[in-house]
Amino acid sequence: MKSAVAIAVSPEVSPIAVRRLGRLGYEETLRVQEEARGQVIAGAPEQLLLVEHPPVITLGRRGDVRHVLERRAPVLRVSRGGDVTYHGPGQLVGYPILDLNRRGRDIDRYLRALEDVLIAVARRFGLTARRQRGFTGVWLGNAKLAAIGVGIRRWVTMHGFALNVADLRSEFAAIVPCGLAGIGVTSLAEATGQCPAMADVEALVVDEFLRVFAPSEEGAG
Amino acid sequence: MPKLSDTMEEGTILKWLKQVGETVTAGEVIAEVETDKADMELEAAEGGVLSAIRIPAGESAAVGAVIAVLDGDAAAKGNGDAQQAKSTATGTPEAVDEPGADRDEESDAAAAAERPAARKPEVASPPTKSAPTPKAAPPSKAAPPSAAPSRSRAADATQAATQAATKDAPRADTIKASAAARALAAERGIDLAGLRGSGPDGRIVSEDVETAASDTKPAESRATMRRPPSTGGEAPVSERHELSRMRQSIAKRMSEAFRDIPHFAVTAEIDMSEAVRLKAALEKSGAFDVPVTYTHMLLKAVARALTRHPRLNSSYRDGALEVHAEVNLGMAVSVDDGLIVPVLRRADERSLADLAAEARRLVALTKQGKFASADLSGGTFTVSNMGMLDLESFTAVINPPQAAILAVGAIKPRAVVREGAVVARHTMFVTVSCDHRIIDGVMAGRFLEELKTLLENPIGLVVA
Repeated sequence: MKSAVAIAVSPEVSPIAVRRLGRLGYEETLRVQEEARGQVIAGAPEQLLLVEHPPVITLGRRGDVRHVLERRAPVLRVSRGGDVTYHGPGQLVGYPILDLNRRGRDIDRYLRALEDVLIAVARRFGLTARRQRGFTGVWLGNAKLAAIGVGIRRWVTMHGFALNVADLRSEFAAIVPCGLAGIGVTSLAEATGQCPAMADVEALVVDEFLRVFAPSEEGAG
Repeated sequence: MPKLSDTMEEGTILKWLKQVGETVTAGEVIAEVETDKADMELEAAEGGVLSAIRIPAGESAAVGAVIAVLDGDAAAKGNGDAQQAKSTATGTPEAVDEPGADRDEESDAAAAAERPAARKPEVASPPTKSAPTPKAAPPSKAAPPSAAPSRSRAADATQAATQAATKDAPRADTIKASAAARALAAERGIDLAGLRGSGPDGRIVSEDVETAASDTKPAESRATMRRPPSTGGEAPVSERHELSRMRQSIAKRMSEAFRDIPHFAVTAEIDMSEAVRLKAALEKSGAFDVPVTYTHMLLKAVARALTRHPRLNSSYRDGALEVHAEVNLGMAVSVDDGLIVPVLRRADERSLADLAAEARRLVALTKQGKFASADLSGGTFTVSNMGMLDLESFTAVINPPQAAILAVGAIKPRAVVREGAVVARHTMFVTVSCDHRIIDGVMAGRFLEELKTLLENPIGLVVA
C-alpha cells in the first residue's frame, strides 16, 4: 500500500485530510476506510480517500446478483447502498469519511452534495452533467458518469463515489449498472473525446470536493 | 424508523442483526436501514432486551414508525421522568437516533428501539385502544424539517414530559396541532398523524387539515403501501411482490414521464402494400444476407423522417430545446416482466442491410440478457412495435429525456378507399406521442406524413 499523504491544505481552511492511496485493492481499501472511520468517530479530522481499484464488481446490500451478467472480475458484496457496480483502472474512486454529526445529519443532503462535487468536476471538462431525480449518481444525458453509494454508522460516512475517467464501457458491459436496465455508462474520456490524466482528474476532484465540503461546517448543503 | 434526511419519507429495513429476545448493549448495531443510495447502521441508544420487531427485514416503514421495541433499563425505572430518560439516551451521542437532537417533537424518528424510555409507555399500551396503532399512524408526516439541536432540545423536553404525563392518552395528542386544526380534523375524519404541518415547528394548522380533506388520496395510498389491506372495502390481495430493480426503474421513469411531460398523440394509417411487395421481392432476390423485416423498413423510414424533422429527435432539458446531432433509435424490447430499450446508433447513416443486421444483433442480445450497457444508452427517439399482436393502435409513454415515441400496430388487410372504391389493402396504424413543451401537433403530423410517404414508396429505403 502506498503511503497516505495529506495534501498541504491549512487546517483552518480545510479540516479534511486528503489521502491518495494510488492503486489499491478493494478489500485493502475497505480496511483503510474502516480504520479511518474509527479515527473520525474518535474525533480525528475528516478524510477523503482517493484510490483506483484493480477490476472488481461490487454488490451493495440490495445488490441483485442477477445484475452481474458476466463474471469477468471478482464479485464482492459490500456494506453500501445501491445495487451493483464495477471498479477498475481508469476510474477514480473517492471515499469521504465525513462526520455528518458535524454537517447536519442529513443523508439526502450528503448524497446531493456528492453529486454537486462531481457535477462541478464535469463542468471543469466542459461537460454539463446533471442528477436524475430518484437515481443517485451523476449523469450525462441518460448515461451514468459517476456512481454514488454510501454506508453510514454513527453518522460517519463510508464508501462514496466512482467517477469514470477512461472509457470503461466494455468493462461495465459485464453488469447492469446499479440494476438499471436500459441505462448506460459514460466517462470523461467518452464525453470529451480524449482521456484525461488521472492525476489531473484527482486534483480537480480534490479541489471541488473541498469547495463543497470544506468551506464551512454547513458545507454539506 | 429514524429520519435520515429532511426529505426522507420512508426507509427499508435491510436486515435485523438482533432477534427478538436478544440482549442489546448501548451502541450495538441492531439493524441496517436503506434509503436511496445510502445504508445506515442503526445502533441502540441504550442497552436492553429487544422485545418486538415491528418491521421485518425487507419491509419499508414511514419515518417515525415504530420498527421495534426495546425494553431498556430506563423503561424499567418507570416512565414518569422523561427528562431523566432523555438524558440517559443522550448520553450515547453516537446513537443514530439520539433523542433531543435533530428532532423537535416526539414524532420525528420515533424509532422505539432508539428511545425505549420515551417510547415504551406508548408502544406498550394495548393496541385495542381507540388510538391508531403506531404502524397505522406514522407520525412522521407531522415532522418538520429538523431544526438546530440546541433550539429543539427545550421543545423536546417539554414534549417528552407531556408525553410521559399523558401516556395513556390517544396518540394524536402527542402531535403538534392547533386546537382549530384538531377540531377540524375531528369533524372531517382526518387523522392528524398522517399530516405534515406547515405551521411553526411543523405544527399542523387548519389549512393543512383542509388540504388533506380536499385531497385524501396521498394519505390513502401511503397507507396502502405500508400494510396489506385487511379490512373492509378493498379487494383482497393474493400475492405481494417486491418489484424487481428493472420494474422499479420502469415504474419511476414512466411515472416521471407521465407526470412531467405533457403528452399528446397523433395517429396515421399507412398503406404497407408496397412494403409487403418489396419485402417479398427482397426475400426472393436473396440480395440481403440478413432477412429484412417490416420492422427494419420502419426503423429505416423513421430514422430518415427524423433527419428531416429534427424537432422530434430532440430533448426538453432545463427549459431549453436540445436537438440531437445523431439519430439513435431505441427499440422497446419486451423481456420477462419488463422492457429493455437497446439503442440502434446512428440509424440514419446505416443502409437497410446494415440496420437490419444491427437491429437483429441488439434484439437477440437483449432477449438473452447479454446486452452491453453501452447498447442501452444515448437513445434519441423510441419505437415501440406491437405489430406481432393483432391490434390496431396504441399510444406509448415517452422515454425521457426523449421527446417522442412511435407506437406501431399490426399490419393487416383493411378496407380502404382508393379512387372512390373500397378495396382491401395491408395497412398499419402508427401513433406518435410527443412532448408538447417542444413539439406541436402540426410538427408531429408532418413527421407522420413524411413517414407515410417513405413507407408507401419503400424502394427509396433500399436504394439510399
